[in-house]
Amino acid sequence: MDTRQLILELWASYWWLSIPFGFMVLGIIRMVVRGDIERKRLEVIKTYIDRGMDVPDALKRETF
Amino acid sequence: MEELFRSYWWLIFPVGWMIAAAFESFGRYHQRSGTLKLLKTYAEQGKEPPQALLDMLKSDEQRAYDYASSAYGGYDYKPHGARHSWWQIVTFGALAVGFGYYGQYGGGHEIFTALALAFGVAALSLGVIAAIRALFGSKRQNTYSDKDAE
Repeated sequence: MDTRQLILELWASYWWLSIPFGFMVLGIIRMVVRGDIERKRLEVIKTYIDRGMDVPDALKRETF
Repeated sequence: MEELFRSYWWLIFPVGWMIAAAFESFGRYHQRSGTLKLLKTYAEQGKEPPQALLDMLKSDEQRAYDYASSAYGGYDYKPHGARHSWWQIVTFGALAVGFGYYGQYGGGHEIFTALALAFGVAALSLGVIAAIRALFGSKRQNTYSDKDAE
């Protein structure tokens, strides 16, 4: 059995795996992106505190 | 190749949706990080940021709430779950009836009857949850009101 045929056969049996796998990839993207935004948000809060200014309410809640 | 497309063309829809969702994530990330960068610049210069810039950090849920309670909206905003449960029950119920009919009387494969059962159970469970929520749920509203949202 050549490789092409093997791939086609595997795909025919396990195509549905592409859906949970796709969701997993989406979940990972969201997690990474959200984590980075939270890190940046904390950085901005730190800038405010370092300068002795009031932190705006909009920065106090989750933003993503 | 053509045969592959004929068999799996419908996969374009879920996969396309996933690609769109990934783009949405990246777009939102870009917008949020740009806003935060600008806010940092304002803070470093010791200036008060404009309200419009702070408003850009709101989530869709907060935005929807603000719109609903504004002069344009003028209706009570309900949180995500409560808003959609009745539509979900109707949708799942309709799918159950359709698949059940096709599987039992329309000459469809048995898998359609199985799908009808699954959707039926989902509709029933959602119905029970919605009923419990309607009977015993707290009547809390204005969940997203805070100083900013005014």
